[in-house]
Amino acid sequence: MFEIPQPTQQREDLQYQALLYAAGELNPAAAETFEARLGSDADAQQALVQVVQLAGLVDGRSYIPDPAYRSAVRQVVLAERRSWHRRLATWLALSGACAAAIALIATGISAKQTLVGNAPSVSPHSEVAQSNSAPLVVTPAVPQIAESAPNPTPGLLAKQPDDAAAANDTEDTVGAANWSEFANPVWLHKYLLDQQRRQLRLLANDLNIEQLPPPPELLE
Amino acid sequence: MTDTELLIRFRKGDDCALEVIFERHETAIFHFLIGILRDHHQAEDALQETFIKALLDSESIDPEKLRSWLFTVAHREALLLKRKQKRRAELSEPALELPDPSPCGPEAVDRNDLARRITELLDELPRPQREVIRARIFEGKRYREIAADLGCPLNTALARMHEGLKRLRQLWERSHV
Repeated sequence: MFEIPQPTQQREDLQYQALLYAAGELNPAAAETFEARLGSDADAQQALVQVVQLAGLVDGRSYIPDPAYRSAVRQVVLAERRSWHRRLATWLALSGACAAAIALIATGISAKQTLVGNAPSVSPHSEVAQSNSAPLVVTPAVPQIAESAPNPTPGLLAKQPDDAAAANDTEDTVGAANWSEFANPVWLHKYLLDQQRRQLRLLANDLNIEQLPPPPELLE
Repeated sequence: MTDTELLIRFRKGDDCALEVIFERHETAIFHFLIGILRDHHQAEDALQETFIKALLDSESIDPEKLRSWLFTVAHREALLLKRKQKRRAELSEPALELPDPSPCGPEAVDRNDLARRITELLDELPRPQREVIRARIFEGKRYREIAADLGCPLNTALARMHEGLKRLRQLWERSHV
């Protein structure tokens, strides 16, 4: 009848096997089997550790590793960790830049599509030149900024509607240039002041008033 | 502090945790490697590689299984070294075997002192255990030879050896407390 080995007996067998293995006295097949077992069996691993510890005590050998290995391990592991952090930072920066670029391109495309759908657009300058009502009608003439007025200057807002150079500009170009400047709150403030001044001038013309009052402050 | 906490701290960049991991596991892993490789220097090389590979791969380790992971990596490293050694031995000319140089100077004094104390402790063991240990350690006999000399089964000789070593260790620890 098949006899199931008791746990204690199994443990002893393991210890004896470990003793024989450490002494190099197991036959090649048994040694190979035990070696394979050492890869995953914690009891076998512990048995071998114990055998070496005990044998080391008796034969007077100190089985202690040279502590220098620790610094070698530390050097490699920490260097790898630092380089991993650097790689991570680089990847994050690159992905951030890519995301920003994609967002800019997407914004530009959607604004251009809106512009095509809403044409003709009305610029603040042309609006003022044509009538006194609705001085600041903002229409999405934005995408043409890059095409027709890539580098608008703050001084553009200070120009009067009757300026000869401004008259030559197309409505879209002027509107786009102004729109681009709305991003800066100072320029926006200047632009609104300018609008009020122009309306006052038109009003003065209607009323035949020659002397204009001093420029008003922007109404809060 | 548990292994889990240690590994988590190490992953977060706490270098002190690394030192504690060394302290806690290096001796057992080293003895394990000595058991497989039977060579101090090779075991040291394998120990270094074990820690490097295990820690570089620390993100994939289950923190509760750090010890078993270290043993697994150590086992792999040891077998790799063994295979390399075997291949090298097959390719090269048979080397002239040199005897292990005996230690000299203070190391030799320490070793002699240790041997003397072990011999004293050995006398406190039961005779059957003492005989097996003497035959194996001091006379270098194989276990099968010892069993044959004593007229007992191999397992009995092994059991005496194992029990004798454990008892000796207890005596040693008691004498050093």
